[in-house]
Amino acid sequence: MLDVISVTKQFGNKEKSVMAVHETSFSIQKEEIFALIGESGSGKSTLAEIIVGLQEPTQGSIAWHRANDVEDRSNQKKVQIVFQNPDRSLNPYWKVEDILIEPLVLSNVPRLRALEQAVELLDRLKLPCSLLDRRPCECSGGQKQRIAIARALSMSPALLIADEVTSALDPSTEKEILTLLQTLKQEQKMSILYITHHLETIAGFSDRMAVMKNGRIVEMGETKQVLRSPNSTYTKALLDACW
Amino acid sequence: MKRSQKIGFFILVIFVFIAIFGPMIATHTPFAIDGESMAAPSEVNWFGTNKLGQDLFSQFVYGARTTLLIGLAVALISTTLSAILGLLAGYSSKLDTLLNSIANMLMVLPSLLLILIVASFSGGGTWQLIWTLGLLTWPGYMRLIRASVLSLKEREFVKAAQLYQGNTFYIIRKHLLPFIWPLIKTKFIISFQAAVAMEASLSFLGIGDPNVPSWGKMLQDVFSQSSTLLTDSWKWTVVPPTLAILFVTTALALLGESKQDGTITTASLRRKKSKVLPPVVCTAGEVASSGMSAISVKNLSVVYGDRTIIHPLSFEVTSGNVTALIGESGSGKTTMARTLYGLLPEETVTGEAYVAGKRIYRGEGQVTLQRWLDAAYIFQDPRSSFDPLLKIGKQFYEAMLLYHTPIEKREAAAQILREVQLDEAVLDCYPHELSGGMLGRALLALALVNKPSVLIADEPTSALDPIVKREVLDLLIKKVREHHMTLLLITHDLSMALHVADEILLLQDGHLVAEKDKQRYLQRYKPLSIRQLGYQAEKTWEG
Repeated sequence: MLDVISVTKQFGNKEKSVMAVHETSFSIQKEEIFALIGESGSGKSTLAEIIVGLQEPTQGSIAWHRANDVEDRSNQKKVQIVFQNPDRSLNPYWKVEDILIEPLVLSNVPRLRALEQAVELLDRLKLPCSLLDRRPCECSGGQKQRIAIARALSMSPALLIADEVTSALDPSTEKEILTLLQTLKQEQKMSILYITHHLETIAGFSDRMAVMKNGRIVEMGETKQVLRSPNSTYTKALLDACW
Repeated sequence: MKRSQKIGFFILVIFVFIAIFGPMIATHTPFAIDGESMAAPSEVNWFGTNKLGQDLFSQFVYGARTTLLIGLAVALISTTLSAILGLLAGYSSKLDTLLNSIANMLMVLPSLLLILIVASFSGGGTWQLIWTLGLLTWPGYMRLIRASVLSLKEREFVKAAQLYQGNTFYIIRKHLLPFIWPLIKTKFIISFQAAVAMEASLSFLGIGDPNVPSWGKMLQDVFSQSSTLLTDSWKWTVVPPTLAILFVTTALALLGESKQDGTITTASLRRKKSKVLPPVVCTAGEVASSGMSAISVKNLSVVYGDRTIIHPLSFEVTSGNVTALIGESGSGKTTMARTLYGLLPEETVTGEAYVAGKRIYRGEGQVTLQRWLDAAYIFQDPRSSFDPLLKIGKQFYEAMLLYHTPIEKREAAAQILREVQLDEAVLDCYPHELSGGMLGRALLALALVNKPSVLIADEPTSALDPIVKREVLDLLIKKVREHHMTLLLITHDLSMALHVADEILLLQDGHLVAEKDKQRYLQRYKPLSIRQLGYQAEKTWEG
């Protein structure tokens, strides 16, 4: 569905440049959960921003495939991202209802219809409707992250990028969100790019995975396979650090 | 609204009324020479007259109009410019260079001089004054607004709005404006006030339209005559305009005052110099062998105002044990840890808490807890736990209360650093020169340096990357076991707690969870172990 073709991203000028992503290629299939693992500074968030189009790659390209395999480079509406920290991704001055309908209103859906859809989304994410009238600071961390997910889903994306969505959450909330993502994946028939540094959580959750280090992918494969018998020393070190 | 703001608002409203309705009830025109010279206040001339016989009351009320008009107009122009240009410069990197250099240029120009030049060359009409002041005074706040927009536009909700195809105008209006609104309000009031003062001083200096009555001009008239202070006439010629200028500027200052932020959770800063009390210090080994509890809590509760953070609870931590205190965010686990280290204001805590046999709150003399000696606290983020401006060594020596000479201190510090596999050279480094893992170890060494019997660690590894995290944690546990210390480990990482702790305490909403419910919780949320998937570890970890 999506091909990332030898994408490179450099920051800074010629004399002093940092290579955030280095000739990275992978593809995401239809209706799969692809996990991207790496520690801070490994370039995984930059890669996510390149895929959604918030940044331009220095080299390489992102290619989308329609059902009939026609290449299509406009990525609008097809990809949505949920960011790591809901406190930064939801405007604290806005009411939850305004946050939820923002993408719809901006794509010219009448406000009333957008509101109907927002209520439906809340229901699907098992959030109470009373939240609509509140501001983000009056919701719990897990609720805020689910609101962010609901907002992304309102555009019915083909690919949802979840950038460390659970790293600020408690283990029990984390588990809930992961289950929810799996259900949503099936309901919406979408793919998920799940970015995390938490190896334990992806077992039994993602279909395939890639491990990133210093801007390069050091290992890629079926999640089960990689977790059972990793090839690269870095993946082994990561797994050894787990309990 | 605070009381001072109310007072400011009230005074300002009075002056607005004077400016609006005063001229309607004034019986004379401000510059008509139809009265007696230097007449004292009377029924005809309420505020008396000046040397030329002009009515001072009507000058005063028309002056109020001028002053408030200039203040308002300047504030509007200047604030609008600051806000719009600041938002544009902050949000669009293309415009930034241009707008920022204009602002910089205006800021280095001496504005008073510029205003004087412009005012005297342009003939000094009221509107010319307004435009000059308005166009010259925006750069300061524009820079402030630009700076906050620069940081705001990195927030993810702005990025999200960009993804949803929101245009620049939409993002500025809907997402950024609410954040800088307080700045805009302050800017408006401050430039209002500055304009009032500036107008008064300029017309006092004789710059300005001579045909427009204003308070500054009234004062200029008076002070240009030598006889003013020789007679009683200053009472009605000098006092009213002076008081009016004073009142209006003060009222605006009061109005601009913002709410003071301060939370009840911050302890008052009453620092006492640390000193070491003579050797009641028992070594970790002794405490461990004596078999008493290292931490003992009896009916402890923490209340902030009317909010109860920790409901009365009691527990004991056996010395020599590693005890994990787990709980979700907001469950009160960090408050608990801070309470045990005596970091909370005494009035918020009730009940008793003992650490290493010392009472934490309301204890006296040798029975109080000595930080670093009896117990040490490891904070969450090693990077923010060290002072970035001091060398690591300096920060070690500060905490080393048991050693006296610099050489002794250095030796002991080097010794403890070697224990955590760090080189002595680290002592001469600044925190930014070390990696996250090294800082984590250094922080651990710092906690160990006085050999306290109890360690309290609040999420000591949550800011570290997975591999480094494991290394630092295993080292911590190893050292704790080696020195027979007691560790209270605060964490929300269940697998970590299950792995290292001898005992687990679970906090929920400030309550200690009972054994049976705790087991159920652990069963339910226990994460899947990587080992269960068939992975064979190659490296065996210590500890």
